[in-house]
Amino acid sequence: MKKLNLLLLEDESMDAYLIRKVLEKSGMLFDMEVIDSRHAFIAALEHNTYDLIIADHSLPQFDAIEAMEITKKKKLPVPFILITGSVSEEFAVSAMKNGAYDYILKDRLQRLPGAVSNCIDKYNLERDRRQYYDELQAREQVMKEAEKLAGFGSWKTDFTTQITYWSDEFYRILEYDDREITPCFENFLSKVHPDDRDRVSAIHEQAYGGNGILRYECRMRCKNGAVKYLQAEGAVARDTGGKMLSVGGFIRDITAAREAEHQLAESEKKYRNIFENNPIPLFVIDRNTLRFLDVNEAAIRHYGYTKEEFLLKSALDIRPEEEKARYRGLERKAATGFSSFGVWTHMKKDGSKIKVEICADDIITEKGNARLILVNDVTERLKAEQQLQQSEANLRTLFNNTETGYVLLNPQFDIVSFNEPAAIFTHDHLHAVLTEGANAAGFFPADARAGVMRAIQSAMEGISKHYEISFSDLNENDTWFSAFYHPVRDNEKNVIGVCLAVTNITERKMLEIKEKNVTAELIDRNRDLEQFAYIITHNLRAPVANITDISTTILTGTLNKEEETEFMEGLNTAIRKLDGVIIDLNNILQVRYKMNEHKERVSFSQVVNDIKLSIRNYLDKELVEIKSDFSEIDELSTLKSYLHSIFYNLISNSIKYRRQHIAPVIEITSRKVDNSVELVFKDNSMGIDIEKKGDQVFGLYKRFHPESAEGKGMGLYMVKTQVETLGGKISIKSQVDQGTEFKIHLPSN
Amino acid sequence: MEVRTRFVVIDDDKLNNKICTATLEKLAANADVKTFIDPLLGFDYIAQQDKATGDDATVVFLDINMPTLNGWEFLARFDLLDEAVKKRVKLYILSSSVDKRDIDRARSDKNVVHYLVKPLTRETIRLITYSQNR
Repeated sequence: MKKLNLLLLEDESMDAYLIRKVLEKSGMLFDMEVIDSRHAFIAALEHNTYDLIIADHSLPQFDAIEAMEITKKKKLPVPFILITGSVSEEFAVSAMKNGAYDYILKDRLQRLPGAVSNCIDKYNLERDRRQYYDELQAREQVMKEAEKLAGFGSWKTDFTTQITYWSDEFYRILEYDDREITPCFENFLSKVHPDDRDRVSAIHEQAYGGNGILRYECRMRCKNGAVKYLQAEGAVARDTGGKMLSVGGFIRDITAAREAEHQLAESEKKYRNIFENNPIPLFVIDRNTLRFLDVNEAAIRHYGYTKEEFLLKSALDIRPEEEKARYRGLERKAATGFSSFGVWTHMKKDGSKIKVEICADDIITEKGNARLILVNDVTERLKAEQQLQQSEANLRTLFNNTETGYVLLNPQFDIVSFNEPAAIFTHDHLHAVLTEGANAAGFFPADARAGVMRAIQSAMEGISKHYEISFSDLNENDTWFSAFYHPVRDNEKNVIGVCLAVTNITERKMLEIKEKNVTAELIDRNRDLEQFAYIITHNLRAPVANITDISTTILTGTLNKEEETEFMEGLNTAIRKLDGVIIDLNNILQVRYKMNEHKERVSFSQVVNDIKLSIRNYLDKELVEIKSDFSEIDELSTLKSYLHSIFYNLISNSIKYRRQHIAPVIEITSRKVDNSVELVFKDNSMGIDIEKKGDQVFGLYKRFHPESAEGKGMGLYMVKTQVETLGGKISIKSQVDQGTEFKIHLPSN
Repeated sequence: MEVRTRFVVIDDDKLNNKICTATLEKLAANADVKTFIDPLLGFDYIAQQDKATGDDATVVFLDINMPTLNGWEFLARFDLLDEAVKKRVKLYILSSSVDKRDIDRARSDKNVVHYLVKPLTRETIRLITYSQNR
């Protein structure tokens, strides 16, 4: 028997001795501490643990009831036995109520060992029971925690009592927040998804009637409308006679697992879809055997093998012999994520070779280590790249070997590239050194810059510009260039720069000028021919017709003497007229031939004086006054004979068409106008109605004054021809009876 | 029976007019020949022809190349005259020009009967007087 630890509250040492003796005498093993005050009692409780407190009820200032209250306060489960001298029935009842196990009268101490023994036994039993209860409580708590952690909810129905138990987790899973609801099958069923209820009921019925095993899954409707997946398992317990005693089991929330499964299935489907419908050929091969495990539709289309044919092949079989070794060297290399394995040659079923870029990733399938291979056919791209390189090389060759200078500008007008001819052009004519990166604006002289930049801007806006420019060297030899400004576009047709092209076109330009001169000369010649034809058909024909007519009439011999004389005179006139026309023709021809004469400095006043001298008699006779003023400019580098002829014709015209009874007055003046000399001839002649005849004034053989027989309609034609041959212009202002004014502009250089 | 035909010659060349008159008078008896050096005067005369006596037509020989009013200008003005005048006047171009352009232009004018090239021959005049007398 265990040695007891006792505390004795007693102030009478005699009593204490007796108590010890009684206990010792009973053979009980014990230690006993004796105290006699409240203070000591508290100290003892704090320092030691006791199996039993024996208290004398009547201590001065301290009694057993108080001691019991102290232990109770301290929550010490120590049993009390009271020792009293004499005791009333009331006290005894109150003491027992306060937790004393027993009370012993001092005069009957022999009862004490039995009471102690009983008390200890009872307390031990009580302690064991409490301990067991606490353990059970703890185990239940652990179970609850476990249920909660695992998502289990347990239940049990006792068929004899018809009581059903649901665990906390069971309530929680079913979303019953309070415990108001009675645990029963009906309340469980009401939570099950309506579509599953009948099935669940049937399963339970079957289990009760059959092997008693419950195992099913069902859906549950959540408060928030979502669906929960439950897994239920249970078993029926029966007595030996097969009568059902109880049924119990658990339910589990498997929604997360279900959803994961669902997602897995979805992602599997998605992957399948991506694999099967991918426009890029995809293979899955076994990493060990290199056999094809799977190929997609695109691969089948691209390579020409059926899926079955593929699955009988290995990745080596679609490679040409020369690349197999290289492939074997690489096949062991692990893929780290999706990574490129470079460009390879593959063979299609028809034997044609293609260049493919391979990307692969190592994957694990149910068939073991595999490799997913993505095939990008780059045959066309490589071919195009090669062609591009070739064409770029060709262009580069052209660029550097052409005679046209090219300069490429970016949108900021910086020079991106240029070729040798462009550098030479810039050096020779813009006196600068072309440099890549420099801004184009800086290369043009200030006076040309604005125009050039406008052209570049225009090209930048997508509109090509073109013009021709010339540069004169020290010897005044012109060099001509054609300048093109083209927009440079990318594939989307956006302008990404400007291309300047400069070509030396001097040769072409010279040819053009020559051609232009030849054409002009031809036009002149043609006009001359027309004039000739006109003169021949009209002016040469007229006297010839007269001569024919007259001679025919004379030959008839029917004329009398007087008529004959008259006709002979007519004949003579006609013949002289014919001669005149021939002389005119010669004069017209002379104008052309004289073109070859050399220019010389000619003085206007000198010319006028010469003319005055040559027709001195005529001037005197007609009382002609010629006033001239060449003070502003008197000299011109020109063909002297032409200038003389022009002056002579205009002066003689003024006299020929003088007004009756009015002495002719001619005023001739000269002045500088820009790069030309303006000569004005003004007279007081009869004038011409310009309104009506203006267009004919300078025509050949146009006459306006039939009564002035001298006019042949030749003078003004000659004047105009000569002025134009000298590169000048002539105009007329005139009114009938108001005189005539001719204005001539001749180039002064 | 011989009908007296009226001839009008409009030409700035005096000599030509003289020759024409002589030729016409020799070939057509009783020919009434009028000549004009100034085409403007000639035109004024012709414009009065509806008032002339008799039923016979007036045959006009018109030169082209003349100052003040050339043959073409003359024709343009003539076209504006009354139908009564135009009906009585038979216009012939008589020019020394053998230029095809002149000939074509004259032929395209509905008022011109014929383009005659100088000199005026006897055969031509006979044809004209014959057609007048028919």
